[in-house]
Amino acid sequence: MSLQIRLMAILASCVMLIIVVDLIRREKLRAQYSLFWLLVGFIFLIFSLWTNLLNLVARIIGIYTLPNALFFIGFVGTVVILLHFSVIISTLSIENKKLVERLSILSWRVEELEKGTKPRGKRKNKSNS
Amino acid sequence: MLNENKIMVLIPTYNEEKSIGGVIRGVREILPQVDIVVVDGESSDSTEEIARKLEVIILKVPHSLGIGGGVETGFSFADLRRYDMVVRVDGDGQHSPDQIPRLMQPILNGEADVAIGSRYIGAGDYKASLSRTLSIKLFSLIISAIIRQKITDATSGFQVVNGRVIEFLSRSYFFDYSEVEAIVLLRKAGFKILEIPVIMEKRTQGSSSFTFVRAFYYIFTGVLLLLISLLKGKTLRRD
Repeated sequence: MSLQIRLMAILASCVMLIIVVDLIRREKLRAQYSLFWLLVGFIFLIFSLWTNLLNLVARIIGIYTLPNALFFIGFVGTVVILLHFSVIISTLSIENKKLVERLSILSWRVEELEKGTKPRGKRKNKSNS
Repeated sequence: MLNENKIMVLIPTYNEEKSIGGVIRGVREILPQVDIVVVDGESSDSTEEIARKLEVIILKVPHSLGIGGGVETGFSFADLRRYDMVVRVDGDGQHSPDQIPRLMQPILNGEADVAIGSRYIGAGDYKASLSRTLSIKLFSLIISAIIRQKITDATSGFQVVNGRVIEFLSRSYFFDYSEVEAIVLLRKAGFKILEIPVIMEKRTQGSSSFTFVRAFYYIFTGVLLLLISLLKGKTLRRD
């Protein structure tokens, strides 16, 4: 693997890790949703720094050019992250549906209660008191 | 026997101002003692106002939830208020209220947990568009094979269910309610399903959302969801 590609891979993983950590620090990204990003960033960084390990993994999975192996690992990591977020979106949409259903039932209940509530005497006028 | 049961009629609506009044009055004539619940998906016409004037219970849900979300909300409401039976009637006037007692009978007799009104058995001469007929027939064939029971009208929304089914459906949040998937899930959970011949009217207003492209999409996603629902566990069963 050429030094140029290695440097690019190291730089890319470092920038990604810094952005993720900064997003957590600025409370734009919740820590629980950043774990996969951090994990994939670290794996990418380790493989970029330690080419012998990348070489070994590349041979095991049958890829003979190291940059391709690196991109393959990055691609798999991204797919895992996307799947993870699809699960999170599904959970959120179910929670959202539950909330909407409960809200609609509660709105009806509030309307019914308001119908049955009669005003108790005159309200005090603050400007006169 | 009818008076001993707490019965709710569930009518999901979206822009049904021309038919909803007739549907509510028709139901009230046949079943004067029941609670009528209209679940409206943010109609832009006067559906809600008409229903309000007729003094029914109105639940408002966002349009984005679709008819499935409306039906699910209705079942949650029924579960919360402990109804013994829910009668589902469409708001577009296709389901004639005078057929409701026939659908209720097997539930009252304890012969079934779910009674589905089928337009394809008996004397009904219901004519639907080619794409709709094809998809109904296809779903019916697939479902019949899956649950090993002949189902002729898999997409019929004219149904009566008992209290155990209400409880089951109100807690099954993980599927976006569709009649087709519900039949499979309910059968898998051990509920007894019975089809009753009914005569359905043509829509009295508006146009069906069923276009040819939508039919293909509906069939594709429906079959996919059906196959996936087969993999779901039986843990949904509630005793």
